[in-house]
Amino acid sequence: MRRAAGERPSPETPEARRGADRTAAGPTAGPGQPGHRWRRHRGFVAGLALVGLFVLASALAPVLAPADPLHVPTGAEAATLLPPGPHHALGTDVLGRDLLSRVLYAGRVSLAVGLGVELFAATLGCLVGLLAGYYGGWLDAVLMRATDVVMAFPSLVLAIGLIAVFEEPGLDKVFLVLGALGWTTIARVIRGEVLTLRGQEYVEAARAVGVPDPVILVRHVLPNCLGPLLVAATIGVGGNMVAEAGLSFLGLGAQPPTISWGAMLAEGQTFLTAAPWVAVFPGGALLLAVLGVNLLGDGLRDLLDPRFRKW
Amino acid sequence: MAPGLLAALLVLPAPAAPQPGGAFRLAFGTDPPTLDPAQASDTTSSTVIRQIFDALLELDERLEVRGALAERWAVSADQRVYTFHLRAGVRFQNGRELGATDVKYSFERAARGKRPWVFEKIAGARDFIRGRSPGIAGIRTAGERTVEITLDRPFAPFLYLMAYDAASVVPREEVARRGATFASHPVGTGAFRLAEWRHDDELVLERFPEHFRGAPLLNRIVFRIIPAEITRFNEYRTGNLDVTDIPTGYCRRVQRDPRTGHDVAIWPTLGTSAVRFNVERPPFDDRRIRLAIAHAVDPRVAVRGLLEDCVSPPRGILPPAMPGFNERVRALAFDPALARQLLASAGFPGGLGLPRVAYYYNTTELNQRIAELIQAELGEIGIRLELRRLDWAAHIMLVDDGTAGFFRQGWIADYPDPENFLTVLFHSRNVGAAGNTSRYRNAAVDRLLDEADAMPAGVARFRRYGQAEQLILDDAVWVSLYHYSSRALIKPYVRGLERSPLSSAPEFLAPLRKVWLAR
Repeated sequence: MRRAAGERPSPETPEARRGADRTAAGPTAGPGQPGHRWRRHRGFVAGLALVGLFVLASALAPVLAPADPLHVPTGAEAATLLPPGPHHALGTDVLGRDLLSRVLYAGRVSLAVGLGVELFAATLGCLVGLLAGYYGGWLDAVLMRATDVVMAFPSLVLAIGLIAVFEEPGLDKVFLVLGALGWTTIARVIRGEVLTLRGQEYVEAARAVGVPDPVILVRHVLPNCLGPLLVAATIGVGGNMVAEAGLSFLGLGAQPPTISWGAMLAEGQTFLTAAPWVAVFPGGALLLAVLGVNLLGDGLRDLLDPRFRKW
Repeated sequence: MAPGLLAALLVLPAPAAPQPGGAFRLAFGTDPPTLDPAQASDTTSSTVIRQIFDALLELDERLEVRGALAERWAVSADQRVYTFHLRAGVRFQNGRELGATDVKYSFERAARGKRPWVFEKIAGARDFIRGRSPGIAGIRTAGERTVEITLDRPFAPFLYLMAYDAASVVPREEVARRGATFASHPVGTGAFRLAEWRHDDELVLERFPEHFRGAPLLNRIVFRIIPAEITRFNEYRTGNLDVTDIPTGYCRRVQRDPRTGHDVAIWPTLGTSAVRFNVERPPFDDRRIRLAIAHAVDPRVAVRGLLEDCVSPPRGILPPAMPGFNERVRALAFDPALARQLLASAGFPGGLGLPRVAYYYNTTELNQRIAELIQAELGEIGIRLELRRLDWAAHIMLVDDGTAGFFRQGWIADYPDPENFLTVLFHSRNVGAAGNTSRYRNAAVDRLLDEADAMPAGVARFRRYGQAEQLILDDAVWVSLYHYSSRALIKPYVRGLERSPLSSAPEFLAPLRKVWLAR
């Protein structure tokens, strides 16, 4: 689910790194003008713009939404499956609810799950990666095999199975399950970084003067992993959003009245031929938001990691 | 004028003389679980059973009783004894001639099957079902071709039960020979016999030339098993099916589409979709809460949007196609202001202090949307609804055992009589799984239903049911959402397919011996 999109080539696989290298984006102004370089990276700028747009739209949903997203007009005002038009910019759904308002409010859920889950997963992944990479030995072996086990499962199927354990599906369960499954990529990335960092002179020096391990990890090692961490986490956010949409589409995620893009897609599929807009708008929003997040992640990777520079 | 006349002559089909031959192709959503009339309890099985077997009687398209295996019948003055005279020369598909003892054998066998209620009205049937007597005392054979059935008490719809597929007549020797596999090797007296059954793929019937009414017109009937409604629809459009159902969300579209517009056939059936309360479970033990919810729910949004106006908006409890449907019965009107008032008078102004209400429903796309609609509408008056979506088996269990306080329930009549709706669903004797899942106990309603059940058929009887129905509606134990209809696509060359209120696409419970293909 998110593994394919989120995995950053680890130092052990130089082939993968070279492969990714070729996809790195266009020319930059060259060294000495970092700001310029960021601005010139088209993917990064487009990703930032898209993500910014969706974050803003979600934050301002109560202001921007023309109607209550849950309000079902009854009696004379009821107008179901209206195509996009002057009264409803994106049309209405099968119960006559305003689609624009619903797409806006659903965005809040999708973004919140994407970010929230990643925050949780990244924290867990960092912890595992730092410990495994820094201490090595049996701890590394145990933690990395545990990571392999989690990664060996098809994660969407595993998520469906785990959610089925709970009596009632819901967003909180999606959060838990995605968080519990999503930390592996980051753990591997961090471990890889730590493996190279732990032999660095400044780490050796800190150890030599008797700085305790937790302080070394937090003060000296972790800050140097931030670049790869940020990249992996950003791409992870997109994966989480897709996973949440998938689970909600299957009815295992957001439960009404909570709206999410995935749940809206499920609603819309019945009317895909008769009223395509019911599915197209939430689907399009999901597509653009995830695209934005992924562009942002790729851009960050190109810009933060010196190994990806072609110049 | 002449060219016009000529054109008319060319266009008009020749007077329809039924054409024999051909294969009639339809589709089921599921493989029939059984073809044994005693073991069936679903409409898919019943559809096939009705082609292979016959009962004593049959209902026509207008729900009137017609003779089948019985050529005539008589009812005693006290309305308790029914005498059926069997046709002469009826043969089972194994060649043996039918006799009165086959009827007694079949009824006793079926009474211990999946639908014992069909026979429970017969004197001595309960004792027999519980194993306390060797036979049903109320079924007597007199001579080779006469069966006399005595009831415990008068029951006007009894003739409908004798037309029900659970009361099909089976040959004893075939059941003995086949044992449990009779369900997949059925032998009856029907116009068609089983030719081939590849489970979950295709079930083929072929004409039985020695059928007592004469051989049917069709050579074969092919039931294909196609679970996805969209696939059935596509198969119909490509010409691989002669009839099918209209998929969810396509009702308006197929009517507008010139390729399918003329094939659309929508007719009302004997079913009602509703939400019910368990009146024993707080807060629904308070009538004002139930009334508030009933006044706050406007199912017309669902009828228009979700169901595309292809079903009837709710009237009372009985569907309009039901004999005895009463125009004057009034359901509670949609009135959110009144609903708010009632909620406040129950002690929950604006829903304040009222805990979340759980609404139970079984998983279907439509039920899900309706649940959301009810959630939104109740939200408007301040009632917060929690949706409990379960699969059918789990749903029905919680509904039957009284766990669910507010839940969805549909009801489709097995025979066209108000008794099959009102007595089954609301008589205090049927509390629980028997049908009264509202656990509603109203002495006045019980009395009206008891009286009506035992009265001879007629207007006075229907009036009693109407009174009971109004009392039940006023108590808000049941809120109708809509009345079912059959939404079918039928190719223009298909003739003689009855559109009975008991027949619903894609199953078409109608007698297919009347069908012929004009091409």
